[in-house]
Amino acid sequence: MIEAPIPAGDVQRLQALRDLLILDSAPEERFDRVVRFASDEFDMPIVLVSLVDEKRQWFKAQVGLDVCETDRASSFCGHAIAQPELFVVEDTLGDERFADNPLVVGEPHIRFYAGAPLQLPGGEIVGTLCLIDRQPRCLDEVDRAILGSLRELVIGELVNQAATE
Amino acid sequence: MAVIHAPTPLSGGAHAPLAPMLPPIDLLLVEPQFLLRRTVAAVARDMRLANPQEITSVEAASRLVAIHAFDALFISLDDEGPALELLSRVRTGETRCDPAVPIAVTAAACDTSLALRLKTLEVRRLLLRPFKVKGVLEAISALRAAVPAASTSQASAATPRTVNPS
Repeated sequence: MIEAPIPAGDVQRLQALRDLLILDSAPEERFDRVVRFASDEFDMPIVLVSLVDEKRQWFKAQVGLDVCETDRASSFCGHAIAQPELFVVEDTLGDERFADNPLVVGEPHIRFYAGAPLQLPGGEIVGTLCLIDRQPRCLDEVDRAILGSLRELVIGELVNQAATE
Repeated sequence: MAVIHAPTPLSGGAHAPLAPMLPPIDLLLVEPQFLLRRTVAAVARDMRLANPQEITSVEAASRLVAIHAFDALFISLDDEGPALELLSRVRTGETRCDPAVPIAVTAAACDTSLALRLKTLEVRRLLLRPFKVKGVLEAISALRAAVPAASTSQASAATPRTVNPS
């Protein structure tokens, strides 16, 4: 397994994340409805709004998982936030970065991952809206556009939260 | 009238470069559900299928079509009676829209009575809930294909954009 990289400017990124005052907050319908919608739209068993903290990824909203956080090093989202584009792994077993990842060989047995980075207006990528399946998948261009649109809605909610705090 | 339960491949737009390039249409999108409406509008705009005017209710849509012409209409029948009344007024030329404007609708269910009414109103597409954003986009793509090229908003630079009254 290749651990999630620590991107340049991670200190500033973490500060931007903490400034949102959202880590460890209670579930909120405005995020929950997006993950439910995405799960239905893409027929995905797991959909997350994942925020990448210093040592962990914490889930603000989730469908299909019973845990609220996992460690950052083995997280897929830790890879996804290293760049601003949609990060897709169509089959984890064919990807040396993830084939022996504990989230692949054990629960929740991830085979497909697509993470849309949540980039704040200041440029910091604080997490992802991600789709996960237990079987290999691919996204076509329309799927990618739909995921991108939902990602923008999540970013809007994050920014609105920061503005109202 | 086509009844759509599952998405089919889209045609046109930046994400389908092999399809014939058509200009985006001026679309009235009446859908009360926020996430569905907003996602459809954003992706339709991104794919250059349409420039949607988002409206949450038939009542607001009725006010808008009185002052603005659209190339196509996509209307939820959640508020069935007023929605069908609106479509009837469109077809009889009581709005700014062309009476032959292509129309698609969504509904929770469709019995024989509704199907006959929609046929009378020359509704081209019916999407039954639950459906996916992809299905809506496919329906919008079909509406766009039905709009005469010379009548699209970009081709004719007809009426200006209006303020959303919803």
